[in-house]
Amino acid sequence: MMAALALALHAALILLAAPLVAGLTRRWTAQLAGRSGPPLVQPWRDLVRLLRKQPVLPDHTSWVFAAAPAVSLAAVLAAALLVPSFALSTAAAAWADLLVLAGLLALSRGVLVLALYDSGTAAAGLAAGRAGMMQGAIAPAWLLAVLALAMLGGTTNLPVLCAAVRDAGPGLRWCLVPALAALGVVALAETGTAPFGQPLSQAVAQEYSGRHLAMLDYAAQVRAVLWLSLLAALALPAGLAPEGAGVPSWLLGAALWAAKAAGLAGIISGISAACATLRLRQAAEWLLAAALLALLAVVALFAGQAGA
Amino acid sequence: MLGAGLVLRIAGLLLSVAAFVGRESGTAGWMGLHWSLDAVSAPFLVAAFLALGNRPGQVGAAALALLAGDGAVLLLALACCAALNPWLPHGAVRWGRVRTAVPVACLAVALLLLATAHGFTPGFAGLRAAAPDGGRATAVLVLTVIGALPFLRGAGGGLGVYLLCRVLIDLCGPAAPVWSGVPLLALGTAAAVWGSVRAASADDLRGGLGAAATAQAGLAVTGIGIAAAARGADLPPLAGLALSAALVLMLNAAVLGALLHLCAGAVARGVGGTALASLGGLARRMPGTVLAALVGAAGLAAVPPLAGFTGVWLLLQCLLAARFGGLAMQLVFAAALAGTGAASAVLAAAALRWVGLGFLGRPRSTAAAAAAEAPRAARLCMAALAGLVVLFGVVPGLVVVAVQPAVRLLGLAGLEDGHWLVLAPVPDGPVYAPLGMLGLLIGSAAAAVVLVRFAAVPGVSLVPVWEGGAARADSLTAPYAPGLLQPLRAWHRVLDQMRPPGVRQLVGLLALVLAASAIWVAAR
Repeated sequence: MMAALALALHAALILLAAPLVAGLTRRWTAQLAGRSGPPLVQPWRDLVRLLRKQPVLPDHTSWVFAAAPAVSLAAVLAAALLVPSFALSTAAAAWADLLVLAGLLALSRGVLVLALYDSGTAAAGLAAGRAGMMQGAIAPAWLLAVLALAMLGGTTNLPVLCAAVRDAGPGLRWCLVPALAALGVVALAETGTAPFGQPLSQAVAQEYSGRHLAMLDYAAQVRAVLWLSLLAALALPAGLAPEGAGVPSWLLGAALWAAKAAGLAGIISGISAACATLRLRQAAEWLLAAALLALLAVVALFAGQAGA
Repeated sequence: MLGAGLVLRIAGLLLSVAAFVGRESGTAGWMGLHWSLDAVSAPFLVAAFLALGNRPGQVGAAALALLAGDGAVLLLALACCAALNPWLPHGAVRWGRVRTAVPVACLAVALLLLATAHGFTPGFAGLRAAAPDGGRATAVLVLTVIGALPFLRGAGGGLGVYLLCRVLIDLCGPAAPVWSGVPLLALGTAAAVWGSVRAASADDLRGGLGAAATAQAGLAVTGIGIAAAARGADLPPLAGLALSAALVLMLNAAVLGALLHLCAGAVARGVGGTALASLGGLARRMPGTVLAALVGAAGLAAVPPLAGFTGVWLLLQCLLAARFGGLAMQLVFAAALAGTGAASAVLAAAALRWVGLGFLGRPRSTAAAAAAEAPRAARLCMAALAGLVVLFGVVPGLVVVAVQPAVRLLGLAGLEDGHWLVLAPVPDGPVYAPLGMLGLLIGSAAAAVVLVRFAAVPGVSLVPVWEGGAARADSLTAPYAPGLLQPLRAWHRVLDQMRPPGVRQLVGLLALVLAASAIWVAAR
């Protein structure tokens, strides 16, 4: 019962916070660039505005194009339910596997790629091809980071990994730093944040309108919060309510999650303001460097565990 | 099970012969289907022949006949598959003989090496007794890998897996050293990356499927490599899990390949060709085929909760759990993990491109604009296979349990029975619950649709596509296959410059391997 309640509260927290975090990031990015920036609630206003507009669809597209936004949003929401925010133990904790999480995010992205192919325009097709192939560069860094985490926790279950990082000694935690840095680069690439650019999001925004675009915008915001929560849970697991904890621990965990998410959003804003968008080949080089960082963590952990 | 294995094997052979004859007469159609269905026979054959070997009291004339039949099937399949190998130029009989001779020679020498210690006896008891010699096991391993390569190249992946399981894991057994899995890991990962890049660059529906089959066979070989290494390290649970992953990958690949080949066949019939440059816009003319192709492509892309994800998840779990053999082995496993991940991601992009360019968007030819839907019987077959893709994905136990007899009879620790809906390969380890994932997905989608329906303006407005100001918005401005190579162009150029080895290189390689094996055996 408590686990189900925790899952419902976690879902509500993520769903409500997603546009706010997007607003926070946009505002801080603008302020770092010397502009005043939009209000924090601007993403909410945009969503409402888009919902009031009638969508316009290309007349030759199939049902795949119309269904893609809902499927993409559903996959992101399902993935977001697996990532802990304030409590380790929710009703979905047993299913919270990092590889399944990657699969759900791939489903969300893949549906959009299909929609871009279905739109049949040259720009959309190019963006679809690039978005698909970029995953080939992202996957090694992502999996090597998962390997480093799995070496520490002995599993790919996310709550168990968070607990393992929390309980690990300082030496092993330092070994994880390169892997978490690699995971941060993967997060930037997955969410289309600078310096990686947003080829998929930009192409989608050109093809959709109205409620479809609202769903896609919201999915992008939830995806960003998902990655912030994932990084916060793995890098800073302190404060996550343990199994069997009550409402006070949940409240403390929620407050700490908000602080951690805001801090990470500030870092992302700084990176967005400071970095120009990379070319495709440079982006691949960044991801290769991230993979090497994760490999360094693997070697360090192996040496650390062998020494112990 | 023995009967099922042989029936599947012989049916695959008949399809192979039909494909060969069909290609000569210009009506090739069965080859892709054969390649796909061929993989199904591997676990059944392994389980059947091992079960036979475990009942020595019943080994009589019938068993000898069956074993002889097994050998005859192997040799026949070897000849057919080598002759049909895509490396071969069409009609190059001389090359076909060379390509048949080299693997046969390798396999023959491998069997002789196994038999020399105790003399050849019918059945496998004598061969198994020879296994404890590590040097001989190593030589057998290398020769078998060379012998099995033509099958894993795309033609007869199931037979290749069968050979590897029988010779490497069954006959060599624990005598094989830990590093014995390294060549297979390297080969499997390279084949997976090669195949996926080829699939992502293909300009034809059937060509893309052939390359995707190579990629999936590569993933399965990676699994067998982990199993061989873990067996050498005396870790039967991990070896069993890895072999389960390989066999599950092959079974699911068989269903997916059969479905996608049927879709490609329906397109060939309805449009008159399978070149991506002349396809597109089929969603309205061939709705049933497009739906089946979408399910198949999603399975090939390994997204949860469909069938393709189960095998990839098990394989990645094995690579993540493989922690033995020192730092060098850890680096090998990490490289295999990175390569497997990259191959899976590129294969997913290839699957999306396959269905996106081939079936969606605007028609690129008048034939595609006037395409005819597949016949009712073909649509029923596609619907059944698409249903299997969903069923095997949501109930992974159906496939995982089916391969466990083969895993156990090979002397490895199989997964626990009774888990049809949830995969939990390690106690207190990671869990994959596809039905739960499906519930989360459906619930999230329903909530999103209901919320949007209440809050949003109803209806849509359909307008002609905006092409950024282009004067004509027709199929000429639609994306097509060569235009999407841009991110892959550098890799593609490198791959195009690579050629299969010639006769001298193959003979030289064989001599080198034989010499190294002889030195190794002598040194032991």
